[in-house]
Amino acid sequence: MATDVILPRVDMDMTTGRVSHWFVKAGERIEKGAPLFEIETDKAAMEIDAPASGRVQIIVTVGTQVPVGSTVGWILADGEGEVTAIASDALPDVAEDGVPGSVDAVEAPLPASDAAPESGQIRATPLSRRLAATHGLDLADIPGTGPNGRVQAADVEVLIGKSTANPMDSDNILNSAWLRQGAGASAGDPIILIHGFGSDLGGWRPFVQGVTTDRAIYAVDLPGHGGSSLGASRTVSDMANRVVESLLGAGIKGGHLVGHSLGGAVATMVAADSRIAARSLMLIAPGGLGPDINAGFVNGFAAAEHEDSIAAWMLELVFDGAIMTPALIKATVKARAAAASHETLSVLARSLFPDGTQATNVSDLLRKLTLPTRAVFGRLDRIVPVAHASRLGGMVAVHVFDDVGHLPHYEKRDEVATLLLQHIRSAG
Amino acid sequence: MASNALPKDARAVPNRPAIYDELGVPALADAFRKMQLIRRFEESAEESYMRGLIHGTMHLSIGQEATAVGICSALAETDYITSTHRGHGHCIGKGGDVKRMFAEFFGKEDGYCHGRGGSMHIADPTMGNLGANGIVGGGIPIAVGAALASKRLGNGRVAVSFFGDGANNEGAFHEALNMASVWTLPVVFVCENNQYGMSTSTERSTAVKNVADRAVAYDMPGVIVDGNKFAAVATAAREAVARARSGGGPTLIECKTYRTRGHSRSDRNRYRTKEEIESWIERDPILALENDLITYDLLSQAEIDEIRADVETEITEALAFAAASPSPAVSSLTRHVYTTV
Amino acid sequence: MDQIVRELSFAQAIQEALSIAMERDPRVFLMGEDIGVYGGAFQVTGDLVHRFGEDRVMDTPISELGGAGVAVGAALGGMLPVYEFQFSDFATLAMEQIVNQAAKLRYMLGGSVSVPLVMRLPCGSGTGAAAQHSQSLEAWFAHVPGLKVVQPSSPHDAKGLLLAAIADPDPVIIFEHKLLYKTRGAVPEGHYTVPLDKAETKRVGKDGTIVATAIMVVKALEAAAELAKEGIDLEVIDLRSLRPIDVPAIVASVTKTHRLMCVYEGVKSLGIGAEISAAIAESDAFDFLDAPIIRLGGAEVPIPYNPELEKAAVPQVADIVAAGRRLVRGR
Repeated sequence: MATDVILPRVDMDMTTGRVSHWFVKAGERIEKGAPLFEIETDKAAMEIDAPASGRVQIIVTVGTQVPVGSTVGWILADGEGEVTAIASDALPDVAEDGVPGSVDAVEAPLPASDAAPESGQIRATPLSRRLAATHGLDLADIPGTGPNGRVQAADVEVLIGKSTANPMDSDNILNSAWLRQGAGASAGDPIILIHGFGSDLGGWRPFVQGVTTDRAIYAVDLPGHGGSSLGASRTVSDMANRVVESLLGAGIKGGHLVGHSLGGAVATMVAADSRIAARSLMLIAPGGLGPDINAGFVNGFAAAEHEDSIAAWMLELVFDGAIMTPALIKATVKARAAAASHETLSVLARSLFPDGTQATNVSDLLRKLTLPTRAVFGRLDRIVPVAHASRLGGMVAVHVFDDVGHLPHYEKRDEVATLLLQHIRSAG
Repeated sequence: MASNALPKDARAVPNRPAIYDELGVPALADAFRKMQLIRRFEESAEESYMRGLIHGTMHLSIGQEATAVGICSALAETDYITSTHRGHGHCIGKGGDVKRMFAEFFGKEDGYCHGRGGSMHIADPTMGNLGANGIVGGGIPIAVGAALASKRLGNGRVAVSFFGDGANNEGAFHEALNMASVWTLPVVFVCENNQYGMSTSTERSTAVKNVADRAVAYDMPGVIVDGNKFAAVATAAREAVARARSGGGPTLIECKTYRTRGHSRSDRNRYRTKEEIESWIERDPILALENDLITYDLLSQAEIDEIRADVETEITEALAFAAASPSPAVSSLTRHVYTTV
Repeated sequence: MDQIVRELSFAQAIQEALSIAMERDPRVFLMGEDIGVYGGAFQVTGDLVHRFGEDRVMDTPISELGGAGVAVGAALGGMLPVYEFQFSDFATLAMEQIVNQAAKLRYMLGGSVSVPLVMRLPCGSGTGAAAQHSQSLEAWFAHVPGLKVVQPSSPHDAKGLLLAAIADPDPVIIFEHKLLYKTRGAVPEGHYTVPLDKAETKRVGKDGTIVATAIMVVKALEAAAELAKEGIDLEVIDLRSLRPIDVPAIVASVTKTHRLMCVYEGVKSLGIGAEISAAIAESDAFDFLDAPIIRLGGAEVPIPYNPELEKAAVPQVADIVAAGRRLVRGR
C-alpha cells in the first residue's frame, strides 16, 4: 500500500508551505527515516524524513505552495504502480493570507476542479464512471477511497446522497487508513484513532505529525463520515460495532485506542468489546459522559453546507480562532463535500443527540474497564462541558488544559502527543 | 449382396473363381458398376478440382477400387463400415449416392454432411457408413465399438474398419485389434496397403513385412490378398464377415494395392518412380475385373459398355445436381454442433 | 415421485446414478480400467459388476485411446456407454477420440449422427499423487465445441448431472474431483436430473460474487462463512457447467454485487477464470463492476508431491478469504 507524504505543519501558525527541495528524484528508492524533502515556511526551512521505504512518487514540485496536510508525494511499495487521481488532494497555490471565514477565502476557487491529475488518467471503476456520468459529476472532482485512489461507486454515491438508500452502502466495512506505517511487529500494537462528529480520519493528520513513535497509526472514518457509508448505523453502539468489525477485517486484533469527542464514546465501547484486545484508552474531549452537549453546534455544523457557515461553526471548536486557518477550513469543507452529505450528518445528529441531548452514556461502562485510561479536556470547551471530567471515576487520569477548547489535540498538539506516548508506554 | 442366381451360362467355366458363382451375375454387375462409378467419380472430382470448382483437398483412391467394392460385396446394408480420408470408394461401395457425394464436395446443403464435412468426412449412416475420417487410425476403435454394440444388442451386424498401411503403426490400431480379440467382437479389419503413408513406404515405416503379420499378436487370422483382384478381396471378405457374424471374432485382411494418384492433390510424387506407377496402372483392378467377367462368360462386352454409359450419365447428372444445390446458409453455421440446442 | 432425502457420499451418489441408469435402460453400460471386481480406483463402481455382470460393467485393457474410441463406436452403434478414465490425466492419451471424433462427428457428418457418450474423469490434486495423477484439465475439454463439460461439487449434483448426462444425446465429460468422493450430502432417492447448462447459487450475498468450480465451491463456501464474520457478504455460484457456461447467471449476480472473483483448481492462466472474466467484461455487467476482477487458480507449475507444496499449488480457503477482502475492500 502506498504511503502518502504530506506537507506537515511545522509551526503552530503555519497554514501553507512550499517544497523547497526534494532530496531524491521521482522513481528513486528511499529508506524510511532518510531525508525526503525540505519545506520552507516564513520562518525556516526544515527537512522532512521519509515516512516509509519505497519508490518515491512526486506530486508537488519544488516551489509550489500548498496547504498544510496536502499530499506532496507517495512512497510506493515494491511492485506498486504510481498513484493516480489523488492530485486533487494537493491544493496548489492557495492564498496564504486571509482572515478565517473571510469572503476572499471562501470564494477562492475550489482546488479539485482545476487540479487535473498530473498523470492524466483517473482511476475509477466502471460502476463509478457510470454513476458519475448519470449524475453529471466529473470524476476528477471525486476523491477515490479505493486502492491507489481508485474512485469506486461508494465515492460517487456519497456525493449524490444515496448513501443510506443504496444496498452498496450497507457494506459494514468502514473506510480507514494507515496514517503511519509502523516499524514492524517489534514496534508493538498500533494506535487506533477514532474521530469526532462531523470530522473524518484526515482530521488526525496534523496531530499525527506531532506523535513521534515507531508504532503504526491507524484511523477509521466513522459511519456516515469520510469514506464510510452510514448504513444502518444510528447509535454509538452501532458505530462501535462497525469499528470493531472493520478492525478485525483489516486484521487488527488490538491496539491503543484514541477517541475524540463522539469518537471517545465509540472508543470506550470498542475498548469494552471482547473481540478487540484494547491495550489502553485515551479520550480527548470525550462525549458520552453526560446528557448535555452544545446542541446548537451539533445541529448547525451538521446542517452547514457552505464554506462560510462551516467556518463559523468551526470557530466554536477552539479557544483561539486563529488556529482555524483557511486551509483547515477548506480541508473540512472539502471533506464534507466528498463524504457525508449534510443530510447524512443531520440524520446522525438527530439519532445521536435527540433533543440536544447525548443519548448514550458510557460512563458506567468506563468505570468497569480495567485498561489504562486517560482523558484530556480543554477547560474552555464549548461543545462538551469540561464538567463531564468529573464523571470518569477515580481510575481515569484526567488532564485539563486552560485556554483550550474542544480540540486539545490541535490546540495543544505537542502536549497531547506527549501525553499519548507516556500513556502508551505506561500501558506497556 | 449375396445371390443364389446362377451365372447366365449354366455351363461351368474352367478355373472360374468360386466367389463369382457365389455372388452371382447381378451382384457382379453391381460390383463392376460400383468400381467404375468410383473411378469416374474421382476422375470427375479431380477435374472439378482442377477447374477450381472444389476447394480444400481430396485423396483419390484410383487404383484401389477392388478393395473397397470387394469388401463391401460381403456386407449387408445394415452392416457398419468406418472409412478413411481416402474414403470415396468405401462410400460408393457401401451404396452411397454420388449426387450427395458431389454436393458435399461442392460444399452444398444437399451434401451428405450439408457442406460441413467435405471430401474427408463423407458419411451415410443410413447405409451403415459411419464416416470417412481425417485422423489416421481414428475409425478403427470406433468400428470395434460399433461391433461391441452389435454384440450387446444382438442385431447381427458386422463392422468393417477400412484403414491404410500408415494406420498400422498408430496405437489406436493395436489397442483396437487387441480389444476386438479379447472380447471376440464381430469386426473385420481391412488394411488397404497402398504401400505409402503419404511419402513413406511400408518398408521404411513398418517392422513386419506384412501388416497381416500383426494379427498373430492379437490371436486372430491375418489374411493377405491381392487388393487389385476383386475376386480375391471378395473371397477373403466373405469368409471374414461370415466368421464375425457367427461369433468367431475378428479378422485382419491386408489388401496389397496401390494408389496411382498422389497422396493428395499437392503430391508431386517424388518418393516413387514413374516406372513403378506405370507398372501398377497396368494392373488396373477395373480392367482386370472386366476381363474376368468376359473371360468367364459372366457379362458381355455390350453389357459392360452399357454399364459404363450408365455410369457416365449418373456422373453427369450428379455433377449437375451438385452444381444446382444451394449453399448452406451462413446463419446455419452452428447447426449440428449439438443434438439438442 | 416420493423422494426421501438421505445422506450419501459423492462416490455413492455416482454409483447410485449408474445403477439407476442401468436398471432403466439396457443400453447403458460401463467401461473402464479396473471398474469390475476391483470396483474402480476410487470405488465408484464398487460391486456393480456383481449386480449387472461383466458385459455391462466392462473392464478394459489399459488402452485409453482405443477404449475411448470403442465407447464412441458403441454410442454410434446404439449403446449408451459411460466410460471411466482411471485418472483424468490419462484422458490425454485419448484426446484424439474425444476431441477429433466424439466432439466433431455430429457436426462433420452434418447432423446425421449423435454420440450419446458419457466420460467420467476423476481429477484434481490433494492426494499426494503428484504431477501425472493430479491435474485439472477441464478447461482443455471445455474449449471444444461438441462436448459438454460439467463438474459437480456435491453428491446431489454428482448424481443428478450424471443421470442428465446419460440421458443427453451428445458427449458429456464429467470431471469428478477426487477429494470430493468421500464428502457427504443429501441425495434424493430415485431418478432425477440436474440441468447440464445451469450454474447454481450456493450462497446468496451482496458484496461480491465468487464463481467457483468443483471442490473450490466447497472451499469458497467456507471462505464466505469466514468473511461473513467480518461483515463481508459474498455470493457463491457453483459454475457446475463449463460448456456451456451459464453466463446469464453470472452476469445477474455481478450486476447485483459489483464484484467478481473466480476460483478454480486448474492452472490460473488461460483457464476457466479467464473465460468467465472475459464473459463479464463483454456483458452488460461491465458497467456494474466496482473493483478489478480477481482470479484464483492453480499455480503455474505441475502439481508437486510434497504435501505443503501441493497445497500451495492450488487455492486454499485462506487464499480465498484474503482475496475476498481484497475484492471487497481493495486490500
